[in-house]
Amino acid sequence: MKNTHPYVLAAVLAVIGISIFVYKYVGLGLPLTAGESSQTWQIETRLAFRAGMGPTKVVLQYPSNTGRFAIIDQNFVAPGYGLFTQVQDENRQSVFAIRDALGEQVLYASFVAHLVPRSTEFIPMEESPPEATIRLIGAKLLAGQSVLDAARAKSADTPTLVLAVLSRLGLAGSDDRVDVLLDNRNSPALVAGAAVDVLALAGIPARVVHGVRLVPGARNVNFIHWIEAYSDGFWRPYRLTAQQPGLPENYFPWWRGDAPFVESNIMGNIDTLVTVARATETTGRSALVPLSFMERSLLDFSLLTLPLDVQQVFRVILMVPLGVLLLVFLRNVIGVIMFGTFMPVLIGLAFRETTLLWGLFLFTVVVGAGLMVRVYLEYLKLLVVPRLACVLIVVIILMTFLSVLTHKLGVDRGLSIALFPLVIITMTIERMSIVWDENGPATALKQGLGSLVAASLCYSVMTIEYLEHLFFVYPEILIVLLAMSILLGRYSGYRLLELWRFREFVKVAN
Amino acid sequence: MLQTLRSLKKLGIVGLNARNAQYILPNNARENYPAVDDKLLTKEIAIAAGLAVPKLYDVIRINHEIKELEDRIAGMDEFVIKPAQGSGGDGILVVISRSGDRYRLASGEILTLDEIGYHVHMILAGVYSLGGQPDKALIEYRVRFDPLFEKIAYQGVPDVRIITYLGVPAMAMVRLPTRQSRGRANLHQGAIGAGIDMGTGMTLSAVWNSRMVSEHPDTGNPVSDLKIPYWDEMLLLAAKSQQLTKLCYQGIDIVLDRDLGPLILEMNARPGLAIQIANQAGLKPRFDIIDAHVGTHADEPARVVFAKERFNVAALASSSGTGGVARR
Repeated sequence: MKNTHPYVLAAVLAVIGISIFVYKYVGLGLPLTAGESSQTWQIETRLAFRAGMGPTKVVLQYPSNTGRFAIIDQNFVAPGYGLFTQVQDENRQSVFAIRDALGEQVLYASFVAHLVPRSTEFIPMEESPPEATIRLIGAKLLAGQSVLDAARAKSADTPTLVLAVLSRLGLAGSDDRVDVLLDNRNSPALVAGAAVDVLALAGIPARVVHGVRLVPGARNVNFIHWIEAYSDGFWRPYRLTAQQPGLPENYFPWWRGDAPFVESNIMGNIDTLVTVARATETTGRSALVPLSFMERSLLDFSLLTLPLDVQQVFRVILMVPLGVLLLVFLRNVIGVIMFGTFMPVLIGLAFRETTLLWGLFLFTVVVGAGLMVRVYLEYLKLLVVPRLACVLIVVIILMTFLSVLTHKLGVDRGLSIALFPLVIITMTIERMSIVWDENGPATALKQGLGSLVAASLCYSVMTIEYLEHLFFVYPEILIVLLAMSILLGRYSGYRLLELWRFREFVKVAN
Repeated sequence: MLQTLRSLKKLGIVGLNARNAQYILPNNARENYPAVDDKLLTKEIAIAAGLAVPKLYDVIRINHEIKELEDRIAGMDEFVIKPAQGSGGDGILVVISRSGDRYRLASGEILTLDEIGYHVHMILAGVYSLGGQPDKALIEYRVRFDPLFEKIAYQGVPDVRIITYLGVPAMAMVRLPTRQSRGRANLHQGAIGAGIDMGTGMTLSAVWNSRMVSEHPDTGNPVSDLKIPYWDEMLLLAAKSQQLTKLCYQGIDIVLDRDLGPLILEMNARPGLAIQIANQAGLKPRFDIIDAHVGTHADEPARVVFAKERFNVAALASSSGTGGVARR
């Protein structure tokens, strides 16, 4: 009350946070918004594996001849490793080699690619055209010939023939000849390979291209595949389902041919994780403009220097304090009642993966079904911890079932249910059923609704892209949030809903 | 909205934030909480100080003892089983009679020994305790409440809640269970709260589900203008309780047994604010008066006299007009 300490502390923290913010904005000119028009991308690969005894060699495809993109910067983090570049077929490769490595190894390779304006995705070829080599034999040769004949009848020149072959191969599963070519399997990579083989029968040189789609903030990116076929002095790209040659602007070609993305001489698996992000202006700027020592050290200690996949995680983590602050506001100033202290923030985080409406729907379904099971378990008179375990197991069974069901129905959004925090859901069910028993369904539903409203609000705030960028580039805003939390901690006024609770008094007062 | 805010301020209604930030955090040291959060400890301290509490028959601390439950309650026809660290009246089992191994509860339900054992297990596992930590189950004397309350209580035990601040009783209400509250005496569960004139011990206005009522909804009998018996003794119990717990802001719940008189049921370090609705008055003006006279009272009886003088309806009405006077 008379104690000014918290206010002084809050003021000092706010001043510190705002000063750093202003200095970085005015002095360093860091961007306030994530330049949407920026066409510079950071593409990062993380390799993790367990090295055995002895020499270890890892070969990673290096993006070269990347269509409209130019690689303007590259960065490898591989402590202790020798780094070489080699050329194999039409690809360049980075080779990491070490004599003695033992235990968990993590290597990073990061590229900054810039979209060259007004460039074309048709790659000119000055030298004599390459020879197409026929690799099909036996039954596959016959099947390939038959597919080619059918396609040839519906085409006029090389580009239309390529498109006709691709659309014929798209009939996998309903065309026996195609099934023979694909060994009764079906995947984009196989279709691309088969297309190259069929085109070789017609004497058309073609090759498989592996690349990624550049989407802002994509973590754990999957490779996509298409083909390039040679005609009239150009390698022209064709998407597998395209109606005409050419690629969308955000297709980034990485390597060509049958080679795998990563090769090595170790026994176990190599975990690869590809992350894509729009490069912030600072990444480019710090490389180009000479900076003062102060500026450089501030930038050197910024989150931007972290590996890209860790950056993506921090983009999310830095938004959590905002959600928590919102929760404090909802509880202590508005007076909303809800389950668990920070449970709504966690549910809100899960909504990031499911999207809001699906998240609300799946959450309600799982908690509702869990409650019914919990009511039944009540009759069995189980000990508390085993009963919680039962509810948890049932929740997992429900999630598994819902995932399979929604997948069968063709609604893949349902799969994201797996990202819900299991234990939180179990505890919610347990708390809710006790409140239901003790205080009646009205209170339980009111608290459940309060939790969901709070989770939705947290989700809405934590997914504002502008704020996400702002917090990431200016993490010192967290210090200001800390100051605000301290101030809220000293708030002793009425809660908004108390005005309703004490409404009977108004009549008395008047 | 602003109108409401202004009215509440004028009446000196204490909100949850103000209760926590201005009264509980500065006045109630955390180390003193166990004395009120654990009813077994409360009971021991009260007995040591010579204050009346319902007699404790037995304590069950570990699951293994549930097997001996039959022997432990052999010969008892009526008793209460409650969690030592329960809150809001949850998890309390009131047995009023038995035949063989069937136990009749106050609510009319009939339980077998096994079902009672399961309930005890739930208590031990911490289902009803604050924060869910493991708990103890108390078996104690069943209060047979005063005939006065028979007409205005449904099934459960009515009790008198008195809020004390710095050892001075500040506000009081009587809480009457209803069918809706299922025998429990908590206002948010649907019990009736009737404010009490500190000076005379007469009940004032009553509130039920945030609405003003004058009769008990289940029995139809009036709940206002009733004289609470042993009123002075109750105030003295409340004033003395502060010595036991060292909590400057606390609520004390007292039941009235028809044979034994007032008994301390439990104490609360974070008493709720519904008492203000029951009394149609804010706590803040009374706390301000107590603050202004801190250190001027010789002993507990002096504090009781002070409370009766300053917080009776007539004194509050004349003193400022903002002290909150209940309409009958």
